[in-house]
Amino acid sequence: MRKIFLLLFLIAALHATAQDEYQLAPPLLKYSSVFFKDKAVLTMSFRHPGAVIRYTTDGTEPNEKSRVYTNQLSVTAIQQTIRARSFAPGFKPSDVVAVSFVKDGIPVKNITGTAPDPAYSAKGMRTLYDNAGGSTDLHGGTWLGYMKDTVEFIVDAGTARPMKKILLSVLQQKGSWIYLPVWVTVDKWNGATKSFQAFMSYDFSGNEKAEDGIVFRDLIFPKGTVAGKLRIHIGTLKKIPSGLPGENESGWLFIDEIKLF
Amino acid sequence: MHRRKFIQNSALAATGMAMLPSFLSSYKKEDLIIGHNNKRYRVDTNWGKLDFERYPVKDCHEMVQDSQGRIILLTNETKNNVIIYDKKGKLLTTWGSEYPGAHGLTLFNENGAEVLFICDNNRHQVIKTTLDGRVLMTLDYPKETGQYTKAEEYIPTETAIAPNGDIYVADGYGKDFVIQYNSKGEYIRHFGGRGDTDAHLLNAHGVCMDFRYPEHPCVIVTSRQQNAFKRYTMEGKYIGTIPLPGAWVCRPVIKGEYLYAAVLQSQSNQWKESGFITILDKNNRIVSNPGGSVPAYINNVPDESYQTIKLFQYPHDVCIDDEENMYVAQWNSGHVYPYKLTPVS
Repeated sequence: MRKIFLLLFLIAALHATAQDEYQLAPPLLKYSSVFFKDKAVLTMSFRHPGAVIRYTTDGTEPNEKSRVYTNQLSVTAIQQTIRARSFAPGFKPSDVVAVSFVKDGIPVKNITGTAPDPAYSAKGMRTLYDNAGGSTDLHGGTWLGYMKDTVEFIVDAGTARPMKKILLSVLQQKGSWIYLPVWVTVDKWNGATKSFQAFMSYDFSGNEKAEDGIVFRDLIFPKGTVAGKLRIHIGTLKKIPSGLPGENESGWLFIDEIKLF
Repeated sequence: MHRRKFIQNSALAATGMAMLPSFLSSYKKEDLIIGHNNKRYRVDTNWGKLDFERYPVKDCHEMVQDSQGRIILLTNETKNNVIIYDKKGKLLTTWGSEYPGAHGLTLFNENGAEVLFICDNNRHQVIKTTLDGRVLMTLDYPKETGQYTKAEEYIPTETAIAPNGDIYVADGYGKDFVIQYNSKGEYIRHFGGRGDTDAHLLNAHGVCMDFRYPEHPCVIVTSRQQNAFKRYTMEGKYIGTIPLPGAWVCRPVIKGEYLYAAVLQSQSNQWKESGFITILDKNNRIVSNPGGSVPAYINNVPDESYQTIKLFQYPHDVCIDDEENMYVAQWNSGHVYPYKLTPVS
């Protein structure tokens, strides 16, 4: 009986100790863009006495045995996610911070479509295929912002070719009333009839509560798809549910890149 | 917030923490020392705690100390807009129920009598009161500037008062102008506002007078979304920018040779409770970031600052008392009362 009490006491004590430590904030990740042609460079920093940054490149959560960051990392893989975390004696490790890099796919010749809100128009439609993006700074000049219920883009890759997917880089930032797309439809250009034909539709509803951050929305095509010109319609969150920032208002759509693969 | 409180209390009640073998308690919250160089602090998160049922707070926006040594807190909770503590955190008195958008609080010694200036976001007004809440003057939206057509466009966040009594109001959630009045509340000029030049402002959230170089007095204005302070002459002519990359700085608070500011959040981790405090020396160089990254400079340009310890959520103002203690008021942080930071040498 006494042993059990001692054990319980120790468990309680350990629990109390863990509760009694502050948690570290995540490390600072710096890169010029998550989209790249040949190579992306990632630097990390966490200026806190005695702290180290540990990271993984295989999709697992970094733990106290993961590799310690010392020097900038080069990324060349087609799609790679790096996860990092701060550790220091006397503190609970930070939450995981992750960044995903995307190598250039099928070159986009031109994008036209709905004009963005003047306050978030960056460099116009060119913004969507300039290989610049991945920063959550809304005023950084890589995001187009929309306050409309539906947004249209026509993405032109030139001649028809095999195509596996479209990737939309979009943002969730609930505090700024920016929410992820609710649905997306893709129409394919038919050269014979000289018109767009309904091709695919994707339901992304129910993501209002998802964590803030940049999301790559993959629109996967059936095997054997051949396409040159596509029309995309994106449905935004018409009414923000109650309990979330900006409730009952319309959500903003923020998009910084459209890529073809 | 309530959960954390519950856990702390139950742990304390269940076990005598002092009895713990030392290997178990590696580093306790009350042992935490934050900050860098000659500006390091021990943290007391319980300092301002009151009975929430009787003395609730919403956002704790700003704090000042009066000549009696009392610490005056402004909150947008209309049950008690002003809460007055002694330096030990004991409640002395409360007043105010007519400031739903209470945001900015500045104290001025007017020929021996101390007065307060309250900026109210919701009322679109600046209100001058006595220390016990009697209204002395109300400034409405500044039509005289020619920049405003209705009160709603004007959302004042802060005031600073010059020695001659001139009132500088920062319209930090409106059009980002600083409007200068004389002591009677008569319009003199305006400056700042939004635009593309260095002299313009984006989220002019705070303003203060800087007399650290008495021969060159200046007005320092926050440009929070630009992560910077901007300096102007007393007549509103732009002098220069103090870049603070990474830091959403709130109002500048000058005490002695130092400039202190709450940093609402880190640029790199926005809307995730990533705030900290920053302290600049007389040359406006960062010497300490309590709760944040070790200050670093590359070729005389500050390297990005960011939160390192999840201690603060959204710090909104600091007050430095006559003994160099720091009080931290927080916005949108779960109705948390102010913390007290005591310097360690």
